[in-house]
Amino acid sequence: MITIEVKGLKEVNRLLVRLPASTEKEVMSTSQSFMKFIQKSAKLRAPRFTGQLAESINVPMNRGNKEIVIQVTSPYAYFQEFGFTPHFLPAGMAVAGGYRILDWMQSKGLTGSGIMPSGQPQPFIGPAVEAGLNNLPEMLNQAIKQAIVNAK
Amino acid sequence: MTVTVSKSTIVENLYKNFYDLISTVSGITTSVFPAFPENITLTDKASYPIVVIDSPEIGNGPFTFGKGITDGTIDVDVYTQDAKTCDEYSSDIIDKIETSKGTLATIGLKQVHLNNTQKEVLLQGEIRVHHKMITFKYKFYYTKTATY
Repeated sequence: MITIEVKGLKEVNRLLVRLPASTEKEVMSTSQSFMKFIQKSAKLRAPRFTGQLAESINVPMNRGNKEIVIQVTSPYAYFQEFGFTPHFLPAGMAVAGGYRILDWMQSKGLTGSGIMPSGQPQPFIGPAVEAGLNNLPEMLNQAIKQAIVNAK
Repeated sequence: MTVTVSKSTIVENLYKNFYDLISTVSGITTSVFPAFPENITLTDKASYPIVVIDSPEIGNGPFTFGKGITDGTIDVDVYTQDAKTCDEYSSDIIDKIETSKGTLATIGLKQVHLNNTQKEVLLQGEIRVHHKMITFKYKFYYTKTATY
């Protein structure tokens, strides 16, 4: 009579039970770290005058959802990122933060009754995401490995 | 100089321990900040290197019936003008934390280890800024408050 004994089934079963939750935890942690990097990169790339555009880039706390978002709440963020139709901006026109176009002109040494920006996009989120994506595959690889170790 | 981490001081004392360790790294002793400095000129070479230590992220969970576990991360950002010094400072910071694990464990921070690093290069005016974000993980065990 042949007796076959399989060892380690209990440990394998435990690993398989724990692995999904462990993987989710590690992947979410890695995703949060990735988005924080995108946030910092975007803040550095954002055009600065008052600094409000950079300050408006946030990663809200993840409250148990399966997605992590990056928010840019400045009203002119979209136009900086994607561009706008060129139009005349008078010097006395008010902008966010209590400033005027004239303040910006003076900081750049410009004179006149206003400016006519080209409307060309000055993306800051897109390049930040592209820069971060280079790191993401290796980060996820490490996260999965750690999840397997944690599940043992 | 390390300070003991307790349940009521985990955020500030964890931060202080990392700050005290990293600010002893040669070359960046006067360049470590708790937030990205606003009063510097990013397009001025003299502004670099810049090292920013973020406030730690914490998360709680059960460990045993009487003990809880806080595990979280703390990010360190290094900004330099060139890749070589960015890598050198990053290596020095990682080594400093790695070799201080024993000390950190005695004050309550267990399993402190490097989680991941992320790197990018971007232009600020006419200078290239090399940015590396180093993420460390830690665990902190505490006695739960009993409720009935």
